[in-house]
Amino acid sequence: MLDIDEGRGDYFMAESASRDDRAAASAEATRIPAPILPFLIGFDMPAAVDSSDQYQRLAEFYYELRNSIIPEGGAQEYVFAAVVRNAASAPPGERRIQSLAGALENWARGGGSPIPSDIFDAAYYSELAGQDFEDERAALSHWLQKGLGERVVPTRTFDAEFYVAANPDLSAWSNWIFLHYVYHGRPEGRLPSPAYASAREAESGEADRAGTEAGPDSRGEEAWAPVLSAPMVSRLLGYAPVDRIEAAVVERMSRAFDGSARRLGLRTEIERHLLAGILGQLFGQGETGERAEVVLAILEAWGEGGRTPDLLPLFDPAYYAEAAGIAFEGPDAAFGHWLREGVGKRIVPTPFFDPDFYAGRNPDLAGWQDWIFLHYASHGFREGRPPDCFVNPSWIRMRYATGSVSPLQFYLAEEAAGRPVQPAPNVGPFRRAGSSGELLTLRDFLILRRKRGLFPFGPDSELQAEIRKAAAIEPRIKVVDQARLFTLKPFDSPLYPYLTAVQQRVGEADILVYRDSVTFGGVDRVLLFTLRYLEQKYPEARIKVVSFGPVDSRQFTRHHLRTEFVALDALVGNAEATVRRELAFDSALGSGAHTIVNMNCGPLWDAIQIYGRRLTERARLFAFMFCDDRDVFGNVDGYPTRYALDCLPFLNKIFVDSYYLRDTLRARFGDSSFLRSRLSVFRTPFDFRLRELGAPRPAPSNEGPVVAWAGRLDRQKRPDLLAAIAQLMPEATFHVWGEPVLDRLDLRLSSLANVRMMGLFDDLSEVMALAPDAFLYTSEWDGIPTILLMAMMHDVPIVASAAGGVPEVLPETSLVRGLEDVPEYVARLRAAFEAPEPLLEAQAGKRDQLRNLHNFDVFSWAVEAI
Amino acid sequence: MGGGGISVVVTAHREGTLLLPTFQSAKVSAEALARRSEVPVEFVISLDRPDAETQAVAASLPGRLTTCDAGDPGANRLHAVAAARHDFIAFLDGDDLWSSNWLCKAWDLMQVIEPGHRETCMLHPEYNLIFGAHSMLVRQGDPEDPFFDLTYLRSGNYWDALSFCHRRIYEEFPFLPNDPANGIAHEDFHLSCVTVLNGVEHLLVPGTVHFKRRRGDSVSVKAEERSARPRFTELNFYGFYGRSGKAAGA
Repeated sequence: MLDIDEGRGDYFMAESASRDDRAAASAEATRIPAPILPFLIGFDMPAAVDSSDQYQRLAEFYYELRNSIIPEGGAQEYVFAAVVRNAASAPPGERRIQSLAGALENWARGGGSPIPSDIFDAAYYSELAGQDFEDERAALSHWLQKGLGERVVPTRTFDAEFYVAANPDLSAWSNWIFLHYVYHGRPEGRLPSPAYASAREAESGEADRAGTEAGPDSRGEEAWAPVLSAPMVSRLLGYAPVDRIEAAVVERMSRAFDGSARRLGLRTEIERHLLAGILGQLFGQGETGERAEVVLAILEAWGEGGRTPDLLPLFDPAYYAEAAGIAFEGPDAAFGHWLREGVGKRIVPTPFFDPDFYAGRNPDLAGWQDWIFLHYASHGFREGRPPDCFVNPSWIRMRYATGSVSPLQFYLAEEAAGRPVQPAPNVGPFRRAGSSGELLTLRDFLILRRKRGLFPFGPDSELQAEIRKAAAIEPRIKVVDQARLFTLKPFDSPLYPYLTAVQQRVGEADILVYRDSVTFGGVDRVLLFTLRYLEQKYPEARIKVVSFGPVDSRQFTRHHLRTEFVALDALVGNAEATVRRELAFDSALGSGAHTIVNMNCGPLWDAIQIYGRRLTERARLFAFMFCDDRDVFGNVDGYPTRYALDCLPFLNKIFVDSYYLRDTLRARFGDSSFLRSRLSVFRTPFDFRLRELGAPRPAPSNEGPVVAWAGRLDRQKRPDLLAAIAQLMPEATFHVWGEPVLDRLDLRLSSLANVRMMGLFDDLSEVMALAPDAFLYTSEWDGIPTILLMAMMHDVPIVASAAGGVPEVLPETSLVRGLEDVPEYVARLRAAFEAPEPLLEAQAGKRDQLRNLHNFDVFSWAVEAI
Repeated sequence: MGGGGISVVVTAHREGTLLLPTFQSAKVSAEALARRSEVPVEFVISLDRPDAETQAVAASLPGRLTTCDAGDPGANRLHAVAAARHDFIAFLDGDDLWSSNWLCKAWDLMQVIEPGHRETCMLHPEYNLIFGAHSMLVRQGDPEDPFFDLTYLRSGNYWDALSFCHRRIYEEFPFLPNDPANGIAHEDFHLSCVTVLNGVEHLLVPGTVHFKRRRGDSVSVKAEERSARPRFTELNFYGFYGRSGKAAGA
């Protein structure tokens, strides 16, 4: 998002301004003004594309070629760009950029021209001009500066008479018809001449050598005949060749189309073309075969008396009825009336299209003499051109990965499903004002925009006149700027749509505890005792737990807590990290809470990191920290690593769950009184009464001693160590419990003859119910693992890596000090099989110590600062 | 002071020659007003710790020059208000531009407001056009919009400082100084909140636009501002919406 207000006030939107600033600075540094590139690559790529390497590469070679071919620039530039555009046929998007950049680079570096010969044939043009040109660039330069003005068709492939006859919808095209082919016809797959197919075949080899993509699909002589024999079907499929569709399907489509046309009361060929164009645009997405199926199904259902297909956003029956001032009997009546009469009266039948914006945004349409809406309905929709300043199909496609669905139809479907989406960068989703805060549809918003006359783009509007006047004083103000974005308050803020809903859910509170999610994990155990402590200490306080992820509060319900749990996951699940951070700040402040506790909540950590000082104006801040984590490269990562240093000044206290973490932080920041005053070690209360093991298992004679291993099969828990140990201990059987995460390791483990994958477990007592001979723990890094505390509640010898806080809860006899020392694990396990008593005695002694530490009184004392 | 005239206040710091088109746009706007009305208009150029180039450019312009050593945009504006001789203040930042119709239309709108109410109305351009390093057309907040929502003031500012209003508003609700070291900035945002809370009516002047220059050289400044917030007001707290029933419009 851009910082639209010089950084004043819209601090939230300023978040990614630095990236945009960098992109702008980069563009400036490389001196590549690129206003025409959107036209080249498919209109309105998102701003992020501007800074991509491929985009810069495209800009570099495009302008290098342009400067050598039309050094003076001027009006020919758009024609040049349109010619160049035909060098790639990939749909708008990254592939198109890449393809075009490759073709232009090859050309600029002395390779052959990537311009298809049905657009510009240098040899042929040389004959026409009667000159020998130095190379293809010189020939093209001559044509652009001379031949173009004289309307010399620079290719023998294009047959103007054939083209006009084959495309009756172009009867209103008053500009040079060859330019229609260059700008639109070729990208749309329209045929330039009956002889086109053989010409295409001849040039395909050249195109390959030039490193470019072929143009429209090559078609044999037999291919274009069906196009002409079934023009409406072809048009329904976006001018696709119909030769690959079964003749019976083509016939059915023709019949169904005729039925629809009759039903709408259409009489003229132009009306039928318009109908086919609109239906083809709306329902003709995807591969040809898929398109045929979809269109046929819609037409046949319609013809059989089914309901009129949803024609939004190209035709809106209710909107048209109001515009025409007629109450129609149904959508069919409205649509037929518009095709027969509304078109003639130039009534725009949809709020999604702003004629003034569209005309101003697309200078290449200056030659379009017909009604501008017809361009959009026939071409612009499929080309992804924005129909309105607040509707940007290309951006929607990139932002939401819409796949083969048209971006606008995707938007409308998401909106109908109640999922907030944005129709263009920097604007929306729209919400109504007020406590309900429900979504305002894009349609309703656009109607409102028209009624209130917002964002007038007409050349006679006062706003446009004032922009022109200001540009006369400061020419850096562009009158026409294809890169310009549009927004209005309050819909410029990505945060705004969530504010009311979060406010309603969180409400006012005295104490807020934030979590990423609430489940049954070790942190939630700490949460449980923290809430119990807070409820006892502050009996009158309104205490709430705010979770950005799912909440499963069943275990809390059992404890009869009065704390309220607020789950925001359904509301903000898809929100960007910056939005979640702002919502954490807004709720922490807005609730009026005097005490804020962060118990592993990323969005609140982000908020404290940035706005911590401001939060301390109103509340006391506390945080619980557990062990660090590792990233995929093995670097130390996690909340303590990311946030402890930055947030330390704002936190009254950080409660850490182990001396290990306390010492880690001291090692990082020094053992200053500042740090000491802010760190406190707590112990999670635990009931260390010994649990009974299950009945002795029915031991298969060949199973031998059993080792239980339980935990997530992920990198932290080192199942690879477990596998190595199991390999060295064929005499033992390993019961491995837990959710598989790493497929390869799962495979390796399960392939070992003495390993049994036991699946998930809800509680360690399930694991211990099988009365294993030892419990093995191989974690690489850790805090105080709850699972080991639970294991200590059973009379089973434990062998564990001495990671993190593990030595604080296990006796030395259970610890393997060298993490990778596989023989040592093996030796310890075998010793445990042979003589378990010494280990069990040491564990019992440790258990007695832990009883004195891990209880609610000690916990309350440790967190009493809250 | 008094007389119902307009003091055009151009505030600057280190804008250098950018002041020239800025002042030119103000002059064009004032000339348009002069062709229709005899309301007196003065130009006040208020510099806050200016560099030599800005000082030299400002001295060459036909406005009354005043200088302060505040290092704070709000304080500079207040300094200029104190120096201004007329009742109505129209602010313009030293690198931005006005549309030529700004003063005319703002003045016209002020004239249709009941005299007793004019001291409690702040007028804003309908649009801001961001140009330079970015390009965006932004419509500011219109309390007449059915989607106008005070809640928004928790996420962004509806109106910037380039408003047109009676000087008493600034005297009664002065800009408070920023305090970047303590994460406090956006003095104009704070003023929006304070004035809304105190019953000042904010109005958009239809068809007007301010042109706001975005320079690419202010990334470091932005980084500081990004981690700052305006001073808190009642609007920040959920309790306000429950108590006042002002969840939606003003």
